[in-house]
Amino acid sequence: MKRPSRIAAVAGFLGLLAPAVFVASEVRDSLAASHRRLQRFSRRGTDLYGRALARHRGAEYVARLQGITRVLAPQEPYLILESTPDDFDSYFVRFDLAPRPAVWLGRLGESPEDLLGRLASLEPGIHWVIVASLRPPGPELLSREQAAEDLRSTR
Amino acid sequence: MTLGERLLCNLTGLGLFTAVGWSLLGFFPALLKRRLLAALSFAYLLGLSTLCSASWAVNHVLGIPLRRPLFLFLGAILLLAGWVARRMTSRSTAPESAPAWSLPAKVMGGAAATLASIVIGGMLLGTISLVTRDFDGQMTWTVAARYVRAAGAVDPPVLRERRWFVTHPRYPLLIPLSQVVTQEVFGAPNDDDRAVRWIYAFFYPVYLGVLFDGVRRRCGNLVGALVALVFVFIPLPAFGESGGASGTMSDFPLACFLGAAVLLLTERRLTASGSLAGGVFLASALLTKNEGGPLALAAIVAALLPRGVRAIRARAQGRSVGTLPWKAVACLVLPVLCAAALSISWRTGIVNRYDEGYEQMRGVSRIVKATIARAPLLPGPMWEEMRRPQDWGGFWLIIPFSLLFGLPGLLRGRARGLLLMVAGGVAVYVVAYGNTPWGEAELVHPTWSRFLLQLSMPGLTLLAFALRHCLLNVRRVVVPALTSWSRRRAPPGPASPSPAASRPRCPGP
Repeated sequence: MKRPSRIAAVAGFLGLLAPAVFVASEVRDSLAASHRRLQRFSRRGTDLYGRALARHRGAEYVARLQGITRVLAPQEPYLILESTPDDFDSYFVRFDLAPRPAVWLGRLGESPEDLLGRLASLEPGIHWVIVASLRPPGPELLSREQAAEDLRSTR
Repeated sequence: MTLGERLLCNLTGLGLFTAVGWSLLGFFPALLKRRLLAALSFAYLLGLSTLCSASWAVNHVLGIPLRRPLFLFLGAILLLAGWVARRMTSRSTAPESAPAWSLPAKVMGGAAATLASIVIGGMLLGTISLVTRDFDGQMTWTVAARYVRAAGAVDPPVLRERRWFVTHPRYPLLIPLSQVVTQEVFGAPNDDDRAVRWIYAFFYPVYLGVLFDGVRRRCGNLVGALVALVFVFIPLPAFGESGGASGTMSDFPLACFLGAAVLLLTERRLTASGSLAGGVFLASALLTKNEGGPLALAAIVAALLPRGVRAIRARAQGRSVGTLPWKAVACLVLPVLCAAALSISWRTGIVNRYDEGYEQMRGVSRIVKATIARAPLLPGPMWEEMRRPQDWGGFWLIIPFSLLFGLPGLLRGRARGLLLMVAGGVAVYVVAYGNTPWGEAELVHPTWSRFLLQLSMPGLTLLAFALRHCLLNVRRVVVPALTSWSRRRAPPGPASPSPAASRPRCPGP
């Protein structure tokens, strides 16, 4: 077999050096990440779901959520109103309330007239409106009448 | 759920999918011959894929509810079928011979196995302690699993009907279904997703098993262990919740299905058994994510085009070899067509909403124009994503040097299919970026790293070819130099090694 030139050998050496440099540069962070997870597991591994969720979303949020799930039957639908003009808190609240199906009502930044119009016409069989928020104190459960009243007061 | 219940539920899912897949390996002599680690990895992919897609098809076509009896019945049928196939093939299937482990390969393999075990251990403990936190997992995937499980159907009204607020209702359900299967078989409540997180996390060791097997067969044990070691230290696959195995998104499972298929389909010989396995994995890719369809098409082209070109050249030169193995091609395409039919039939019943609507893309010239118009805007944001230390560490700053110095290794015949796959995959993503309703290059930030992950297995195998080239060049210079040096230093004696014994040996199968 033809022997490669010295330049090719040096290039080969550099090519092999690159993964070694990469591994050396990452080993500390990777092992630290593993260690952090081990510590988290030893401290929080036995948390029941409510407590684990509270660590992520906050205790007030979970208290509100539990209040809502006591009222809403496991597959009862609701209207969802996003509390922020730009964010997507409704995705997360919808996730926490699934499999209860949601109907999109709108965003609080929209004109109250539009929201009231939709509230009057959308899915008359649905009794509840949830104002989706991840910020404390969390999501709010309102009856349709209460929601309409609140929207009228913001006109 | 208590920690013990979560552990048991996770292990139930892993055990069920691996047992079903292990049994089904009887249908795939090409996989049955592999080493234990690789065979177990393929078994997990095969078990999850067949059990979940069979449940999907049975529920969609026959309307049988997605409950424990159905899953146990289908599991039993698949186990039985696999057992029968194994009885028929066991006599004809001898385990393949593997290249011997040299001392450097043993050291590298030991380091890779130890460090991978630490990373995998940390990841498993992390995922069983933390609730789902990734954006898309909460927006789309896990919420879909909850709707499907509550209704006991893959097409519940909440997905089908326009009035319900569901984002991406047509996103494929294979991986959410794996959650449903596990929860139903164990009898777990619907809310605590930590009970099924190992279904996702287990794709990580599976990926490593498939990658190591594929690279080892092409480039030898040493390069296989080195590439596995590099993969272990990329942060995104292990610890990234947005796309990695620590989250609940379908990108990493797609990377496994696609990677396994591509590595099987670009092997030197395209056998019917290997093609069927590749076809099943491509079908699973199609049922795992929207981009799985176009990527499966790219994989088929990558597998067949180089062989077709070789066949045409051989015929032109009057050689008798070089026809395409049509039986193998049929075995590859058939499962993909079945999955496409299931996917189309399922999708047509669902009103699409809150979605980018890529299915609405019409007119080749319009698509090409839009892609060309946006293409210059993409490299900058893409590079930004690749430089994110929390996702890639220094991977994209350091590893391209290996590709550069080992470039001749990438241009060899065996790497062409992999190059085609990576190029085809990138083309699919660029077309999506060019035609998305998102503004300019906005979609790059949330998706580019995940796309790279989807193509990572063929990409890392290309890296293996480059490293193999580098290794050979170094060996061919260093080993003779060391030998002559040791000869000069050795005292004169009767026994000197023959030139043949001291000749450097190439790694490889």
